[in-house]
Amino acid sequence: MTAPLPHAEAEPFFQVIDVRLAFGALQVLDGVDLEVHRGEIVGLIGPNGAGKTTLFDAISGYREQATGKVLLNGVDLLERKAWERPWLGLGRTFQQVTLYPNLTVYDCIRVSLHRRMPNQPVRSLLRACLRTATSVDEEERIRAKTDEVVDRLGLADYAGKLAADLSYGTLRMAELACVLALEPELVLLDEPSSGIAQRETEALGPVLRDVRDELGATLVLIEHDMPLIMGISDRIYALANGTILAEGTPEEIQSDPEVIESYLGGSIDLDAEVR
Amino acid sequence: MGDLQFYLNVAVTGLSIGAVYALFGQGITLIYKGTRVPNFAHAAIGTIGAYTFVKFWDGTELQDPGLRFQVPFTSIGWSPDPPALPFVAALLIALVLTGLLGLAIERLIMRPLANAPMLNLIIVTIALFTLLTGMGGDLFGQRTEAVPTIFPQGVLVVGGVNLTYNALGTIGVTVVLAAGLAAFFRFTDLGIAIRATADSREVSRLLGISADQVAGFAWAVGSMLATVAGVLIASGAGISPSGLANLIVFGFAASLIGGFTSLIGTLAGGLLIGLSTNLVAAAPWPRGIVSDVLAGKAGPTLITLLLVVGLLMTRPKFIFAGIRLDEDTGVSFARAAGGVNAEDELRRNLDRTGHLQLLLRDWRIGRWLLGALLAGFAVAYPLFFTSSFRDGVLLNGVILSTIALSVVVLTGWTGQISLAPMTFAGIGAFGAAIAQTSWNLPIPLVILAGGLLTIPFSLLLGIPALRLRGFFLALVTLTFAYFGENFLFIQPEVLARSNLDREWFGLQNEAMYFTALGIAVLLFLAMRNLRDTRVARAFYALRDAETTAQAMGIDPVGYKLLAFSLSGFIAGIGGSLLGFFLRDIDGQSFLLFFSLGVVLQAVVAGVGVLFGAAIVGVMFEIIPQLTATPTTGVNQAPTILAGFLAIITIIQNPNGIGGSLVRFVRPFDPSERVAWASADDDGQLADLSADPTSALEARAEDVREPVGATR
Repeated sequence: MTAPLPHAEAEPFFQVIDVRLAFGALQVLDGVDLEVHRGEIVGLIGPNGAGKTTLFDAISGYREQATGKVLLNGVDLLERKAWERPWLGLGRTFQQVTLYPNLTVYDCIRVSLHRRMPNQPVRSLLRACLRTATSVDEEERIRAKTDEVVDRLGLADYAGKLAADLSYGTLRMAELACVLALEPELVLLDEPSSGIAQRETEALGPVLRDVRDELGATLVLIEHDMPLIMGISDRIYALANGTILAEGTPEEIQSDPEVIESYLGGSIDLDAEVR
Repeated sequence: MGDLQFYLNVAVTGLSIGAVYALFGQGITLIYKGTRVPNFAHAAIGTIGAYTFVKFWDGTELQDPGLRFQVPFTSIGWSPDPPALPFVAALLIALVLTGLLGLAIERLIMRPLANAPMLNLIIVTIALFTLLTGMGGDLFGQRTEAVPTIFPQGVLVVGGVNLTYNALGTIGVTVVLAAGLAAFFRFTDLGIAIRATADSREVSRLLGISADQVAGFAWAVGSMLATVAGVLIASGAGISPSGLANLIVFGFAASLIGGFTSLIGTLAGGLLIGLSTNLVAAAPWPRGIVSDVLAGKAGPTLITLLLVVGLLMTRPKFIFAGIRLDEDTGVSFARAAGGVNAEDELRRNLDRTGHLQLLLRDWRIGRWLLGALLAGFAVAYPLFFTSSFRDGVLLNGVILSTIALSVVVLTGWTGQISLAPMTFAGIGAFGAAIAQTSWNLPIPLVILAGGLLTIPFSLLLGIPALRLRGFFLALVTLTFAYFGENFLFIQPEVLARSNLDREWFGLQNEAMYFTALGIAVLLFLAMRNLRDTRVARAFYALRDAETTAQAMGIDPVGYKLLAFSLSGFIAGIGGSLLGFFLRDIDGQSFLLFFSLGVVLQAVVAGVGVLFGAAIVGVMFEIIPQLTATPTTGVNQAPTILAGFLAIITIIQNPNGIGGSLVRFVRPFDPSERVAWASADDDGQLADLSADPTSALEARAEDVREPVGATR
C-alpha cells in the first residue's frame, strides 16, 4: 500500500468551490467541492452521467458557463481562458485521446514545451524567422527536455512515428508525455485506462505513481477500473448527480453504503483484485 | 415619376435578379443536402448549360456561332456549327447535357472522395470550377454574346410600375420550380429518401436507400437548375465565359440564408439579396464620401459581405437549426459506398517505392547538384538570353511562388483555408502604390509597405476564422475575394493612386527580376527557419487538433491571427512586386478567379511544403510561358490542366507533387503533412492493429513480476 503522505501545507493548493453548471434544465454540476493537497493522488468515481468529465471540462476551460471557484495556487482558473490554464500549472488528458495526427510523437511533445518558454507570439515569430541566438537556444532547450520526457516514458521507439499511426495504448502514453512536458503541478487524467488492453492497464498504476513521485505532480483521475483507482489513490471522491456523495480513503469509500448503493453495487469482489 | 414608383421599379428589378440567385442557391442547397458537398463549381456548370442553350437556340444571332472541340496543347480540332433549333429543343439539349455532366461529376470525382474531409471537397469542386470554365472557354469561344429575352418582349404597367415580361417570367419560373421542388421533397418517395439521407446516412442505409443514387440525383437535378438559372440571367442581357462566375457568391449567400437545407429558405434568401442589394445601389446616399464609397457595385458588394459574415458569425437559430455542429469542422461524412482513402493509397505507394526513396535519400551530392543547377539557371538564364519578355515571365513566376508561399503558411501549416490570396496581393499592390504616390517612400520601403499594409486586412479576415472552419471559412474568404474585386479595388480614391513608378529598376525587367528573386529567396529562407520552431509547431497543433492544442497551452486566437498576418504580409510583398511589374495596377489582376487559381496551383504543387510553393511559379508560369508559342493549342489549356491536375491530386495524392518529391529525398518533416491529408480535423482514433506492441505493453513487460519493487 502507499505510504501515507505528508500533508505539509495546511491550505490545499487546489480547491474546487461550489462549481455549478447546467445544460438547459439539466443541472450537471450542482455545487461540487473538492480539496486536493500537493503530492496527492485523488480518484474521482461515479456512475455515467455523474458529471465527472464535465467537472474536468469546467476546470480546464472547455465549459465557460461554469460558475463557482477553481483555485490553483490561489488563482481562480475559471477567470482564465482554456489555453492560459496550462501556463498556471494545469495539465489534463482526455477521455478519448486526440493528439495531432500529422505530427510525430517527438513533435507532439515539443508542442507542449512551448509553455516552458516565454509566450510572445510576434517576437518569437520574428526571432524564429531570423534564426536569432535566442530562438536557436530555445529550440535546443526544447529538444533536451523532449529527450528527457521521451526517455522517462519509454517512448524512444515511437518518437519518430506519426501520432496517427500509433496504437491506442501508445497514444495514451504519448498524450501523457505531452502533458508531463508542460511540467504541470496538477494533472487531471480522464479515464487513463479506457480503450487500452488489460495488460496495459496493469502497467498504468506504476507509471502514474512514478509521475507523482519523480515529477512531484499532483494527480486527480477519473477511472472506472476499480482495481487501478483503488490501488493508487490516496483519497477518493465519489460523485453522483453533480454533487459529491462521499470522500475518503479507498477503504472508506469501498465500505460506504451510499457509494455502494449508487455506483459500486454489491457484486464486485474488490478484495480479489486489490492486493 | 414619384419616389415610390421609382423604388418599386428598383424592387422589381431586384426581385428578378434575386430570383436568379435563388435558383442558383436551390441547386447548391440540393447538392449540399443530398451529398454534403459545397459545390463551388455550380457557376461553371450554369455557364456551360446557358452557353449550350444560346448556341443551339434559333432566337439568337451570335457573332461566334460555332463550337470548337480541340485537343489541348495542339491545333488539331473540329469546329462544327450547331443547328439552329427551336427554344424547347435547345433548352432540352442544355438540360440533358448538364444533367449528364452532373451525373458524371458525381460518379467520376465525388464518389471516390466519399470519405474525404471537407477541405478536399472544397478544393476539388474549385478545381472542377476551373476545369469547366476553361473547357467552356475553348468549346464556346471567348466572345461576349447578346441574348434576346426568352420571354415575350414588352412591359406591363401596373400603377406606374414597369413589369417587364422578362422580369415577371424570371420570377415566375423560379417560384414555380422552387414550389415544385419543395412539393417533391414533401410528397414523393425519392424526395423523402433524399431528406432521410441528408439527416442520417447511417439510418437511410439501414432503410435500404442508396446514398449513391441520392447523390447522383442531387448532382443531376442541381446541375439542371444551374442551367435554368444561367439561361434566365442571359435572357434579355447576354453571356460571357466568366460572366456567371461571381454568381457563386450570391448563390452561396442565398443557400446560406436557407441554412443549406431549406429550399424555401433559399428562395427567400435569393429574393432578399436581390432586393436589398438593388435598393442599396439605388438609395439616395448623401453626396460625399458615403456615396463615393458605395457607388456602383460597391454598395451591393458590401451588403453581401456583411450579410454572409454576419450570418455565419451570429448563426441565428432559425437558420442553422438544420445544420449539425460538426459540419463546419471539416469532419468527413461517411457514405454508404466505400471510397478510396487517399492517405492510405499514398502510404501504399510510398511503401512500393521505398527502395527508390532510400536510394534518393542517400543521393546527397546529387541533390546539391540539382539545387545548384536550378539556382544557376535562375541567375544565368536572364543574363545570357536577354529578353525583357522572358525576364518578365521569370519575374511573374517568382511572384507567383511568393503568393503561393502565403497559401502554404496559412492553409498548409495552419489549416485555415483562404480563397483570397490574390486579394491580399492586390491590397499589397495598391498599398505599395499609395505608399509611393502619397508618402513618397523610397522603393525598398514601398515594397515593405505593401506587405505591412496587408496585415490589418488579413487580421480582419482572421477574426471570422477564429470561429469558423472548413466550408464556412471558405465561404467567408470567397466572399472577401469578391469584396476585394468589387469594392476595395474599384474605390475611386484607391484607383487615383494606382501607378507605381519603377524607373529605379529600369524599363527592362532584368533588375526587377533579380530584386524579386532576392526578396523571394529571403522570404523562403525565413519560412525555412520558422518551419522547425515552436511558433510553427503551434500552427501545426492548431491545424491538427485545436482542443488538444489549447490544453497544451497554445493560444488559438493569437496564433491563428499570427498565421493570418504572416500569410497576408507575404502575399502583400508578392503583390507590391507584382504592382511594380504591372506599373498600372487595376483590380482586374486580382480577381476572385485568380485567387482560386493560386490556391489550386499550391495544392497541386504541395500546399504543406515550402518546396511546393517554390515550384508553383516554375510549373504554372515559367514552363508554360517559355515553352508555349502563340500558335500551339488553345488558350485555355493551362487552366484546364491546372483544374485537372488538382482533381487528380486530391483524389490520388493530397500531399501534392512537391510533397511527394520531398518525401522521396529526405525523412519525414512535420510541416510536410497537409491539413487535408488527415482523415479528420480534430484528430483521429488510431488503428488498433497498427503496432501490436505498444509502449504501455512494453512497459507491462518491465513491471510484470515485481510490481513497484524495482524502484
